[in-house]
Amino acid sequence: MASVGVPFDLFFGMLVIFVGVMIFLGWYGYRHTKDNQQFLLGRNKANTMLIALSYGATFLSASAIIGFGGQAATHGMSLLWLCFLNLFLGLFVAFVLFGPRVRRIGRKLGASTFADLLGKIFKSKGIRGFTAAIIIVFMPIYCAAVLKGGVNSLVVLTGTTDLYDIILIVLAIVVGLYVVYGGIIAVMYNDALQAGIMVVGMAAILAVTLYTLGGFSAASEALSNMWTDGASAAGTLPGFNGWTSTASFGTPEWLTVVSTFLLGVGIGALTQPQLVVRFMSAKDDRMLNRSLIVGSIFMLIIVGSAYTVGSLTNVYFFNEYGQTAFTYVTSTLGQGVDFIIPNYVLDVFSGYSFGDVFICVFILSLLCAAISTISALMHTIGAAGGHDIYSIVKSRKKKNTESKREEATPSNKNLFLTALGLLLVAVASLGLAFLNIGGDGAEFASLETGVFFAILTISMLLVAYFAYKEENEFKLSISVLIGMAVILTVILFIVSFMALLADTAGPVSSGMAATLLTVALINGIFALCVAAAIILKSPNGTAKWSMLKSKNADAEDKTQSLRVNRMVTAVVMVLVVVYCYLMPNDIIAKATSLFMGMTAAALLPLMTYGLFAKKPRKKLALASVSVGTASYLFWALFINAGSSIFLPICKWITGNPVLFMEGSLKYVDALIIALPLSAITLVAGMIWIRKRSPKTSDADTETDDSATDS
Amino acid sequence: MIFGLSDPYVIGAYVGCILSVILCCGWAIFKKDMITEEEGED
Repeated sequence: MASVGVPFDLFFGMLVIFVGVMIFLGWYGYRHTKDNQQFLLGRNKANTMLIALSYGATFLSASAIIGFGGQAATHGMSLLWLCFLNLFLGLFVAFVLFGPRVRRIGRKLGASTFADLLGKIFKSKGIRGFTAAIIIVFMPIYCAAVLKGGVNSLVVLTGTTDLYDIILIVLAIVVGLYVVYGGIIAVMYNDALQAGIMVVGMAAILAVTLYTLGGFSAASEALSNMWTDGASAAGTLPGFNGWTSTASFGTPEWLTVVSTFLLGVGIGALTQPQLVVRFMSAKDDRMLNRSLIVGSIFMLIIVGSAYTVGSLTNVYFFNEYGQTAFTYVTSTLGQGVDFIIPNYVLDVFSGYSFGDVFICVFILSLLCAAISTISALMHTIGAAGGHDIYSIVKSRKKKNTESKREEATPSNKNLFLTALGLLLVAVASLGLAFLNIGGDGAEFASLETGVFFAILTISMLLVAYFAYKEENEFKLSISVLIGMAVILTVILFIVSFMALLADTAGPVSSGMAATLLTVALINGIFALCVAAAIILKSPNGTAKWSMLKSKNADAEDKTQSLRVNRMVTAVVMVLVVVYCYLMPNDIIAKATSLFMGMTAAALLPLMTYGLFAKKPRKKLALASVSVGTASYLFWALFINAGSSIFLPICKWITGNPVLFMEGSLKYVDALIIALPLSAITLVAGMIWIRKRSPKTSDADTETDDSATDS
Repeated sequence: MIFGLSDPYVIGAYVGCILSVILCCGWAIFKKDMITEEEGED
């Protein structure tokens, strides 16, 4: 059986040192963050090594080591193609083709975030808002999965399952503090520190694995023989040909590995908002180029080690326990794919001198991997809500009073708002991961459900109504927020109602209903607080609706901005919570693929067009992003079996998880369909416009932003 | 059989990884000088 964990005092000692260094770096970042621009980009503070390691640590994270390492143990060495795609597309193409243009255009236009960059390229606040919305809606899936997966693995390795809550809280608080106070500078310095620890940890694991199994050749040969000797292929799909062979072309196994894991993450890396921001932090193009050396070696060590070791864990577990990694961890230990690597590390190192020290190094590297991603994601989500959405609303208001005036530059007020957004996202992530472990029994699912959801709905609508009544130009934003709040509430209603009907059976369990109730309660209180704060914080100090008629333009602007910021954050909080509670356990790799696939399908053609076209057209970009998003969502929710579990709308409507239960279609990832459609839309639009008015320049036909965005 | 592997796709993946690292390092070393000239265009 697996070991119970490393000595806690040893781990605790190393953890204290690690946290101390993290806090110091957070303080360093805080000292050097003077304004919002530095909070968001840290421009001129980043050097070659910092950019490379920060990019690498943010890119790879716990998802690559735990999630995809576990998938490599299940699906075999085919996953090494993802290592190639990470290196070639995610690093070389990103740094050589996209990086310099992103940096130069970003600097030229004064962009601070990914959404800001796209918005300014196309001179469209609609595109900026849409991109920010994608980040706010979909990134929490990835964020929650990494947080959940990281802490789960940590408690297994340290044997501290009882301390789950404390570890989760401490982790979230530390990350939240240094992100909120330190901004991107603290994030990048910590990333660099964490990247160094990750390299040591992963290199040690690879070396010990190869030493234990008699070298790479002997290990891979043993892995090949396992398949020919008839070892169990549990966890795989039809078409699997062994752990050292690729699956048969077109089979369910091939489609899953290639379309979901390889292409979803391989291509999606190009449009990761948290990674693109790293390019904008570079001082010049030479810095980006130099980063390639450190970045590529770092990535090869981390990803190559994770996928190779992941596959070879089968040999180890087969030699030790007579079972494959998947069978041993899922059947014998009762855990999931995401626990294969942690259990393997715990087991293999326990047989060596100083094994505990190495396990502690691995735990720290795992911790680093999780933290680096979570911090970057929190920073990105917070920036999207607190900076992008806020700026859009602010500039719309200014446009009414001062025509043709350029969008306001980031100020210290934005810094505060972004930090506030980050803090709330941190609290939300903590809350949802914390609550996910609780909840059991149908006794919670009672009449109170309706009351809580009613509170939620009324609160959200109240907040939205006030903002809408006050300023007509907020119509679009408010409408979207109202729509999201209502849709979410309806979904929550359906889920809990079905749980009540089905008791413990059906698409949702009674435990899920209980957790959803808890979520509803928290959200309801939160939303009520937001509504109350808006009313009580009125410029004239009264608790009446008269605040909406304030004559003071500046105060009103500030109040309005704060209000919208709070609303966006509230909606983000609801979304994050819902995602986490609907997620199954072994989800890190799939959640990563889903988010990256979504951003690739929606934004890759648009971003490529915007960066490389001489005069990019807003309408074409809008068409492309709309088609990409809609087709991805449809395919992910109704066709692909792997992604439809995130939000089982199809099951609620039709009774089946996907529309086509037979055939291989359900194994095809949404990216395979949505990305070409998005690209074709863009290209077809370009051809059509060129044929229609060959002599008309792009600029001549482009309309004013506000007209089309509204 | 190369290093215990026989599947050309898996071998190709490992080779691709190594080549990508070489490509990245080569680009970083030999391409760095032309960049600063373009800076002025912006």
